[in-house]
Amino acid sequence: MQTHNQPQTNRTESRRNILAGIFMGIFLGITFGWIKQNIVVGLAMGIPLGIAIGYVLDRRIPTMRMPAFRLRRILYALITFLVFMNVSLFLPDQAGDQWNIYILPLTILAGIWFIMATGKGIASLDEMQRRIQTEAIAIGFALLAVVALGYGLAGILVGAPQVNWLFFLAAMPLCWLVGKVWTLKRYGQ
Amino acid sequence: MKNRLRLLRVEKDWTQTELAERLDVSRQTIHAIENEKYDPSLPLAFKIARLFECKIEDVFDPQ
Repeated sequence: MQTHNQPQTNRTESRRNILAGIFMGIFLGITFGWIKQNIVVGLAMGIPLGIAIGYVLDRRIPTMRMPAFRLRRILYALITFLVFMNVSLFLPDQAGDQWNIYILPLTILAGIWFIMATGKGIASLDEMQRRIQTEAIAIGFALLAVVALGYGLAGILVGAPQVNWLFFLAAMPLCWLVGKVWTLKRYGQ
Repeated sequence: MKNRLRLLRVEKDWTQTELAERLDVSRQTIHAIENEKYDPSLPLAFKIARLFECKIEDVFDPQ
C-alpha cells in the first residue's frame, strides 16, 4: 500500500511546489515590474525564477535537509509579505491616509511571519546545516552592513546616485547566499 | 579533531547515506565529520559511539 501511494504523494507534492513557485514568480515579477516601471520584463524574469525555485523545492535541495512543508511555509510567508508590500507601494502617497494606517502593520506582521518561518525552517535542519545557515546569515549581515555603509559614504564623498531602499531588501538574500557559499566551502561541501 | 568514523563505517560496510539515516543527520554532515571539517556536538558524538558500540574516545581523538 505504501509503495503504491508514494508516487501519488510525490506527484501532489511536486504540483504544489511548482504552483507555489509560479505564484511566487508572479509576485516577484509584479514587484520588480513596478520598481522598474515595466511589468512585462518583471513577469518574464519572475515566473521562470519562481518555477525554478518550485523545481528546486521539489528536489528538496540536495545539500539541505529541510522538510518540504517548512520550505512551502517560507514561500507562503514571502508571498504574503510581497503582496502587502506591493499593495502599500501601490496606495496613494498620502501620509496618514486611512488605508496606509491599516496596511503598514499588516506588512510588518507579514515580515515577522516570514522571519519566523525562516527561523523554524533553519531550526528543522540538522546540526551542521544549522551552523552553516546561521554563520551564512552572520556573514551576509556583515557584508550588507559594509555595502550599505560603503555606498552611503560614496554618496556623501563622491556623489554616488541615491538608490531605492528596496535595493537593500533585494541585496539581503544575495549577501546571505554569498555567506552560504563561503561557509559551505569551509565545511568542505 | 581526528576521528575514526570512516574506518568504523567501512568496517560495518555502510555507505555515508546509510550511516546518516541511522544517525538522523544529512549525508553532508557525515562527509564533513569524516573529512575532519566539522566536529559534531556532544549528543551526536554519543550517538555515534553508541551506534558503533564503543567509547567516544575510541571514535574521536582531540590530539
